[in-house]
Amino acid sequence: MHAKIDKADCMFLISDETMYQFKQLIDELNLFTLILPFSEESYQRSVIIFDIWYLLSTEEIDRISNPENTMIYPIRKFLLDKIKSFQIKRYIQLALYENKKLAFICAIYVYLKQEQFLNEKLGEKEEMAANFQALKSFSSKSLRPYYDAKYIEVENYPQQLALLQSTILKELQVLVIEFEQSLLHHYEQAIAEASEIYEAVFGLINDWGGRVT
Amino acid sequence: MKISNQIEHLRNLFNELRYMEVIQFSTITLPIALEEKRYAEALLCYEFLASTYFEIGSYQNFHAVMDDYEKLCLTYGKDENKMVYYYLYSLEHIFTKHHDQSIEAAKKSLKYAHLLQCDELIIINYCNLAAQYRYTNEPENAHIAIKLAEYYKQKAQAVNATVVRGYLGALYYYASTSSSVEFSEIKQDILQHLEGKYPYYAGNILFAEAILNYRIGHGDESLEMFEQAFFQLEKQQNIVLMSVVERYLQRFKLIDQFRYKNELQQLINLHKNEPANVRKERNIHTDLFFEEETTALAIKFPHVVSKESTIRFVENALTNKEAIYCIHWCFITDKIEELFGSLFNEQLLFTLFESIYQNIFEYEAKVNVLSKSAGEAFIKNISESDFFKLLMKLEEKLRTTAVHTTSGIVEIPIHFGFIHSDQLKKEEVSYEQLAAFADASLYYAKSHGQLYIYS
Repeated sequence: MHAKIDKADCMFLISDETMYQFKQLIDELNLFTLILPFSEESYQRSVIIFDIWYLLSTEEIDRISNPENTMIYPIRKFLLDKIKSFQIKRYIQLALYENKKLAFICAIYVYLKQEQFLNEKLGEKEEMAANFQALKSFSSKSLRPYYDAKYIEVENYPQQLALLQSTILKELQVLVIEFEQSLLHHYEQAIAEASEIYEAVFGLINDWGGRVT
Repeated sequence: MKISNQIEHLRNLFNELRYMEVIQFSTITLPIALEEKRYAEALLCYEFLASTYFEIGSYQNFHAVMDDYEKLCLTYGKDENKMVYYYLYSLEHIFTKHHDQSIEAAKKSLKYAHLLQCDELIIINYCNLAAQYRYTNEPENAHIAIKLAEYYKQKAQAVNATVVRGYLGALYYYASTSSSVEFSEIKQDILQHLEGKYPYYAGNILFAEAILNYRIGHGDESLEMFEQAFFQLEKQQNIVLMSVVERYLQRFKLIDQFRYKNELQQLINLHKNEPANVRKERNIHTDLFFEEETTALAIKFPHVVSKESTIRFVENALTNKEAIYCIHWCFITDKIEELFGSLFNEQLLFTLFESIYQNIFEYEAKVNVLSKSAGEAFIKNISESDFFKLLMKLEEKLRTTAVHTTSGIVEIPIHFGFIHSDQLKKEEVSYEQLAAFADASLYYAKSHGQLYIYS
């Protein structure tokens, strides 16, 4: 997993300290990241996992979203909102706020399951899959430079890219409405599996997030 | 058909741990498979052969097989093959004491194993990682690895007897953390799997018990166990494990009390023959998927460097406060490929890239290929006017490469995107930023159908 994440690419406003914490978790829990598919490794993936981790481990009142990125990364924003609206079991949610490790493992599983859901659904929709594939070719780097003021003389904003993103977003919205239950079920499974594996390694989770020894 | 049957037979033999027969059989099947260019089958043969040589501890043979196996696997291997290959690669590096590389390789194998949901290799790799982390004194990682191994072990349904290859790793781990209860549990598991099979692993178990005895403070018993393990290994000529035994004796400072010290060291030295230099130099390829696309280019153009060395080059330049140009290019040849096929297209891309390659090294540059039709270069110590001269020159050279047909000329769209390090804020400049901006500028050039855009 990429350890070099630019905090400007995150969907939230992030302090250096938080970023450092996440990087440390990548080192410390490296063995848990091996479950992520090799071929899909990219910069964007790491940033998405970071977002999910931050979302799960920080109470709503402390999160400040980064409005600029809402425009640059509309698809990420949309999926993140879905995760936000998902109700996690109370004792796990409470533990997540206290326990960054648990949140890290959950973030990986949530990402994995979400991808699994998308791949399943995209298998049936060829056109949409092609669009997703086209967007994937941008995933190795940050998209922010595309929207940089440097290029304003050439074009106000990268129209092709923006069009591609909005097309995908529209299709995705329809898809998610249709299969909402299935998506939520995937999230639920992800949290269940992640907490199971956490408990197997570090001991029981309880509502203050500590370990029962 | 014949080969497929033989492979099936080999697989059964291997799963039954009948190693001598595996060797006999696969040395017959392998040349036939290679001759008939049945690479998928040949790879499986290599896989069984290399695993077997390792398990019986015949290091020289193992090493020899690994060399050929590697080439074939990197060229024709699928995910399953790479999963096993990296596992074996990791084992090889335990022996040569390159622990970092070994751990890296085991992780790669695990990634493939997770992708393919192969329980057996997941368990084996996590167990081995646990033992290795324990040896390299990283107790937290070792703990995580062993717990994960246990977790997957519980979840896994029926596994083959070959899984004991991993259980032995767990056995060493528990031995060196002196956890007697878990030790005896896993030992029971191993014995259960090995019931009715040839006792290849007797030496390993004795060795693990020696470690356990030492850890719980029974020095004398431990020494005795070490001796017994040595007898067993000597009988089997298991050089791989013998060298590990010696390493542990050194570590526990028991080597001087060990009565067969000379015999042990003699045997190891006789068979060891440090691997050839080439192998020491060899690194794990950072990304195989990427590798496949660009290997051909990298062979033909030796100055093309990996991403890592490009990053080092850029970071060096930036810390020395040298200005740097980053340039990305891409050739759009979809139409050509459609018209003339992929072989022709590949040839054309070679020619196009060659033009860049021949001109860019007039300056101090690093070139890295991103795919067959795209690449990036970083150029140091070049003035703006020189840079644009270079661009013009490249354009001129590239434009001359067009496809002439009877019905006219097919031109190839070429685009550049570039950025100068001074155009970014000082604190923002990094390899990633430069590359991202060069990419963005390439994007605008592409979407406007221009050679490049100047901002």
